[in-house]
Amino acid sequence: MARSAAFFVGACLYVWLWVQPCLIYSCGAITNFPPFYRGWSFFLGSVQCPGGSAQYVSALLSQLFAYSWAGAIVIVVQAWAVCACTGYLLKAARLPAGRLLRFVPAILVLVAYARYSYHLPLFVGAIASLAFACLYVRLARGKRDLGVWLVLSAVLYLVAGGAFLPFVGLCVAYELGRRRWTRIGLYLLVGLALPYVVGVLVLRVSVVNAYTDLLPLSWRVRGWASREQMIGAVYVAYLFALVGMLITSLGRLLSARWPDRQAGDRPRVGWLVRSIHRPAVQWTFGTLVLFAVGGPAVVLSLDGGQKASLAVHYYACRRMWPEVLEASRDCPDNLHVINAVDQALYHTGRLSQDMFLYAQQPNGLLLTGEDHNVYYWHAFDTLIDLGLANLAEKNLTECLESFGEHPWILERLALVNLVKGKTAAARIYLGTLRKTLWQGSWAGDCLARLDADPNSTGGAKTHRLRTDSTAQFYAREAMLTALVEQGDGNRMAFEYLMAWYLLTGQLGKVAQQIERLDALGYAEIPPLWQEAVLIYAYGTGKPVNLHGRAIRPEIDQRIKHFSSVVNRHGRDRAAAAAELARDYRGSYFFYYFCTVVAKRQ
Amino acid sequence: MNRRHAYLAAVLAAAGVACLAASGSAVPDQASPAGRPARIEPDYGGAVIPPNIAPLNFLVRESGSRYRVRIASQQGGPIQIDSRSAKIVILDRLWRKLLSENRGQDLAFEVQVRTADGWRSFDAFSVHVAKEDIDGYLVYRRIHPAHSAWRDMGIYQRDLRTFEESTILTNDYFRGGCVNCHTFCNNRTDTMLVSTRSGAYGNSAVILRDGLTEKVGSTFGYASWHPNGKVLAYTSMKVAMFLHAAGEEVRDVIDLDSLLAYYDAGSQTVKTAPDLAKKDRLETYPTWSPDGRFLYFCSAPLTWTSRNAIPEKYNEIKYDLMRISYDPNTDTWGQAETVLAAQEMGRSILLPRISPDGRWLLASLCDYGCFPVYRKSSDLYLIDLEAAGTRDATVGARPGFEAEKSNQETLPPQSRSDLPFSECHYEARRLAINSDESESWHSWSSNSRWIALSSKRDNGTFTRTYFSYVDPSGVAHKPFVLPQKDPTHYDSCLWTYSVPELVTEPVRVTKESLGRVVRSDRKTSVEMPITTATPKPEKAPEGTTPYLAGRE
Repeated sequence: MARSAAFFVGACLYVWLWVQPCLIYSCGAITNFPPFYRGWSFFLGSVQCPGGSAQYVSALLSQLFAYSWAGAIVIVVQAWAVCACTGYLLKAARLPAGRLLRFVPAILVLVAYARYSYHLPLFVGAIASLAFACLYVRLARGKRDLGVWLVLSAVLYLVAGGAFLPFVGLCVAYELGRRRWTRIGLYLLVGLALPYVVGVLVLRVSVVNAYTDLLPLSWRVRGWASREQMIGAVYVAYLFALVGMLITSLGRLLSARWPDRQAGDRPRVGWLVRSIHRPAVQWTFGTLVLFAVGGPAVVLSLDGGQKASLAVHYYACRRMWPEVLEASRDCPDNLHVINAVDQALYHTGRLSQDMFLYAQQPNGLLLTGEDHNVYYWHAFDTLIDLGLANLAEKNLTECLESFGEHPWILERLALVNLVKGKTAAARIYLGTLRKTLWQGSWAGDCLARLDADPNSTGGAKTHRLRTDSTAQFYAREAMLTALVEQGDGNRMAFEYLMAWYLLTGQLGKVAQQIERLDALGYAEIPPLWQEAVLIYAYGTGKPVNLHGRAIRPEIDQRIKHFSSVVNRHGRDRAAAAAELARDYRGSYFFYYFCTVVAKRQ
Repeated sequence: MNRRHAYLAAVLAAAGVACLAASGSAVPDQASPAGRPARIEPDYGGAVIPPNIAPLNFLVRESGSRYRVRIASQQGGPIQIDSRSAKIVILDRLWRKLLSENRGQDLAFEVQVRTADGWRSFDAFSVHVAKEDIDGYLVYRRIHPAHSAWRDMGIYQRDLRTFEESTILTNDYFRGGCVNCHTFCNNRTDTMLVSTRSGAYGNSAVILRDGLTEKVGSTFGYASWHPNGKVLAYTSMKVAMFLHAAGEEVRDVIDLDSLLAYYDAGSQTVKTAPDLAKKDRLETYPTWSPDGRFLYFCSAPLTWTSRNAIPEKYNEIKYDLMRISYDPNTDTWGQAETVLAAQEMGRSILLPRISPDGRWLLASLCDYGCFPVYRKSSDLYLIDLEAAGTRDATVGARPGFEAEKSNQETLPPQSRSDLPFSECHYEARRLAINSDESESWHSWSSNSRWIALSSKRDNGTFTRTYFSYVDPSGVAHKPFVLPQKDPTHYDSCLWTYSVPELVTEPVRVTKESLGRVVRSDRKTSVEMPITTATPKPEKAPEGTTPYLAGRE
């Protein structure tokens, strides 16, 4: 008891502080995170199919992931429940070392979450299956066992759908140990028939769903890479106790068949073995093993890369820009991370100064969704902020289909419709959002504001691309140019356009755009643009009209020094880059030299 | 009455008096008039409703602490509803009785709301109960407003007399594929088509006929059953979705190539005819005349050569309304002839559907293209097929039509029906029930008095099903939305209800049977008899181009 408590309390702290379930809630790459709505309508709609109750409970518990501490409790309670039920069943089967082995599936539950996979409904199904098997073992005494089993079966199938089948297996394994062949045959028969009768004939679900819902075999799981991640943990949660019971039952059957040989083969028990079999020694040994093996297994399984990706997504969705920049350092090369970094830099006023302090790729600046990749959908916030409402709407609608009715996606769809002036459509998204657990009051406030002022944009930005073109839907430069040329002071579009020019080495266009600085309220030419203008001017020998602004002398000095280093190394570009990295990392000179020029050569 | 009972009665009476006193003026007869009708949702005021429709539950959008609604009629007693909630839910039994007693008459809805200042009485609004029933069931597809990806979709049927909705087939049954294009014969469900697309089980057309379900290994686009139930005309097209960078609607659709073909259910073969599959035309949206002698369809010139790129002048594509004669006994086709030219209307003419009595042709007309549900400009137009004038004469305006040509000559119906077709001139009239948003997918009831239509009038994004009564003179009356038990259902409904088809009976084949057929390896293979630029129908579209998949 004390050992379990210590283990699970430790696990809870670890999950809360290191795994951070709120990152799972943000659903950057998890496509099966369930929606949950308040009210009878959603409840009744959920529970009317086999497994609906388990799905409903899972959906409710999943919402607690929004708060890491609550999510940690949910996760650890799952692990504990799997552990407790497995332990009970292994004990009933009299499996040696069952008290220690029961921790194996629990550890894998924790590992699954530490790998940022989401299988909560399947784990709930597994727990239901194990718990009902425990009930059967406890209640099935004497002649009433058949009645108990039938009642438990019917209830379990309604509650947990396909998870009923492992329950049948557990009961059969248990009865195998008791050598009750009639029961075994009967249970197998009813186990096969009940999903068809109740699921297909009565509740009218498809035969495939009737047998596989809430099992890792379900078509809702198989075939989706993100849903199959760590699916082995689910199999173990379902099957560990079953396999353990089968092994002991079969072992007992075999030992009963060849008792003499077994007795004859039994070795003499020495002092060491007798010592090991002492309860205190076993407990101590088990505890050491648990904490020496289980603890590190959980801790070391943490997927740092995935955590960083999800953290960037989470913070970007919450517009926590300093945290985005901090988290991005652990996974700098992903396009969605680059996108979030650029977003964060713009919103903190640093895009035109510091963007090359971070990893950059042209395609990361603006993710258009043309490749149908909608993972880490914070990237589409950039589109809303820029005024590319249609592109944002398209992608967020795709997100709704890919990730389900996640509150944050609904919130963005409401926002984009408000930006487009489609208030009535926005109201429908807000109406849905109002029924969610955490976003309900925000949506209610928005609706109240819309009631008071139907033309309100709900605080949404009002920049919006006005010129329609089907050809430029995914064309980054064309869209940004169109936004800038609308002339409505869209400073973000301007900075993104300039960033695009920098990233793609279109320095002439950077120089041309200097004329817009007055209209957009820039006091001076930002440093990175100054560097680009200098490269252009020295490279082409053409004068650049700075419209009354000046290049800082120190930047001019830097390009001269930069050039001298490059010239000194001649054709040895690697050596030049190594030397320049010390002083020029983060400058446009360095980026241009290492990427644009390198590509040309 | 013993002492205890007397005591109890006294306590109850005192409690009642206390409640009355606490609730202020409990008698709304003394209500102050508001001087206007109450704001209600859905807006049923002034609508014409079928006598067999489910209760019109509604929400009173007036703030108050209590609500009282009295539904008064000429026949029978009124229905009175008292509610602390603004949701007014009408008892099914009382509603049915009221409607059955008041066919052809008006119902008056009197709304009273108690506010802090006492009861307010709003002006009554009325609905008219038509004499004619609407078909008992509506079949539609439910899908989110998707672009190229989707999650859940399905075809459902709704009993219009109640709120009961049941599933015909969802994509749950074949691993999340796509299900679309449900088509019925003569408003009945014993002959029907459902198309499916699935990565796991292939693309197929599931045909129910004579009690047997058959999987045809081909893709049938927009389809129409011949009234004899043996021939299914359909579109085979190469469709592409493209997107608008600005404007209200992001999505747009173009058929880069298309032709009409037909499936002979008897011989299980696919055929076409020269005038159904011209190489220089795009043919689509087939619909049979009720007598089965003509196939009406839409056709536009094909002016581009590439079948892989959106043509530059996509917004100049306009479809004409055509028809072609057909003899089912000899399986022979006549020559295609123009019923109404797009050039004449200045609009693209799409989705023709003819009333079962053969009199009216209802079509969607929009500014360009082939997919009206994505065109805000799409409106419903009605053509009186029995009132064809000569080329120099037109039918005058009637109430319910737009009055833009009201000074023109009025001709009696059927006066020119005996004219040779080449001398006939059909007039399409914009219905007054249109909104500023897209009106599209529509179907007729079996008695030709009701139309179900898909409209985005409420919000511009989510399609809802509306019903409108079309009187014998072709006037369409104020439509009303498909009633829901919870009157706030549409406030948070992320589904679009598309392709509403009115049928007289429920689909009886179970979803499990349909799902089994979709998943089955057994299928009828068909071969397109011609080689054109149009792709063979059984081939799945290339790449990731959505093909009817995410479309509404």
